[in-house]
Amino acid sequence: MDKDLMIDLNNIVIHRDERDILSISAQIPRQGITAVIGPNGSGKTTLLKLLHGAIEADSGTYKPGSTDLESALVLHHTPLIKASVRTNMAIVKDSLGKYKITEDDIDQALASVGLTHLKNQSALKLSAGERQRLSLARAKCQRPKMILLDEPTANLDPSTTEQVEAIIQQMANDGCGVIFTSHHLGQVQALADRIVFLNEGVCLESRNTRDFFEQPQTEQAKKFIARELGWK
Amino acid sequence: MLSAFNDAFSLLETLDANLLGIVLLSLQVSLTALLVGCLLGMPLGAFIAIQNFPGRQGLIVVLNSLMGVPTVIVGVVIYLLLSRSGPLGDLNWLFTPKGMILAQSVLTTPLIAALTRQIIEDGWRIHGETMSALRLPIVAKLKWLVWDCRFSLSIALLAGFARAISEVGAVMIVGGNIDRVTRTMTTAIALETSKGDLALALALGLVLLGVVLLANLMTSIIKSFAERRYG
Repeated sequence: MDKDLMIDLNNIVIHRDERDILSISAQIPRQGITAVIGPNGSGKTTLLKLLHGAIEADSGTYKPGSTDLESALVLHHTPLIKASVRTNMAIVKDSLGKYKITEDDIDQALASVGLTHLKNQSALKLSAGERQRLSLARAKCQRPKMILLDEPTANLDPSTTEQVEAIIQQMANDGCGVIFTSHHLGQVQALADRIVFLNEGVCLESRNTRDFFEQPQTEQAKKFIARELGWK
Repeated sequence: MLSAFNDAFSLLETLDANLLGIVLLSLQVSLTALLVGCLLGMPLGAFIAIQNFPGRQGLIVVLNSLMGVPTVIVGVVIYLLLSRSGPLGDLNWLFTPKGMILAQSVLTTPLIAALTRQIIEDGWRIHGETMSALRLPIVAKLKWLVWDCRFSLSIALLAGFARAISEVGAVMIVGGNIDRVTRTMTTAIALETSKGDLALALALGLVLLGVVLLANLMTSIIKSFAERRYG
């Protein structure tokens, strides 16, 4: 794949509490949908935060840097402020982005996730699915070239999960690169073009989705797939 | 004692001019000191809540200590600053409402800053990661945290107002308790009680109590409205 279309992580190490929580050298596509999978504590969220520039590596380099990547990050748990949906959207107008976000942008983003009818309602009264759609709308407003989603459908019911997946797919179709973490391997197989498999902070595999699931190359990946699919 | 109460209610019913003047001056001084305390204390408290810098813990300890500093000590310090030979003597604020506002602002600012710091720090624990992920600059973070915590912060306002309106030591020393110039409800109550004019002292005490109760009631109404509206 064209090197300009890849995020090149070179000997990245992030050290916390006397252990390496992430130690990775890998290439991740800037286009399409990439799923970052692995057991709990394997460094998935840390990787997203690193790419977004929310945390810094203790050593190593990655290109392009977080500024050039123009990413938006939606965390697994996104608390909302005690105000209306619209006010919660308006927060992004203050973000340090390349673009000036207008009221029209907010209206369009809300419409794109089907929340226009709730814009004057208290954000704290939204359901979990509506909250996640609001977070995605907020990210869309920032016009990112890459969106980083940390377990975007965790704790959502199947119907809401489908809605959120459709939004993610639409963003990818619109040319926005997507990297998301998930424990739901069915969802990963359905959505992702590529898999990054992490185990204990180390990237063990970075391959296209079909190859990864049909022929996992490491014992850890084989065990992980068997355990997750068996458990499901 | 019963006749003192009767006389007190009579003063309130007839809206006695002397009593009214004292009440209005008290409100003017304390509300202005509250405003100053908010303008200085809230940004300061919010900044300390979300920023790490050398000496932060020390500053928090100082602020918390200043919450309980005796009002007479503040009065003496401001007196020395405003006295003719003091560094702020040229302002000629001693024995004026401006001096009293300054003294009460010194009381309200650390109290509001300390309470704001605690409230905003709790909010920061909840929203900090999301706000950083949204790449908000520090001013925007403070703005939205204050907005999110606005109903809890009303408690800080109430505490600041209660601290100002009910104190007697600082305004007595800095204001001098001059009739129709710097006499507030609390200094008047102290003076009239010592003179034996219990009617005026009781009337002012009832007004003071009413003002504090009204402020509490309004805070409570705002909070319950907010909980109904925003969950």
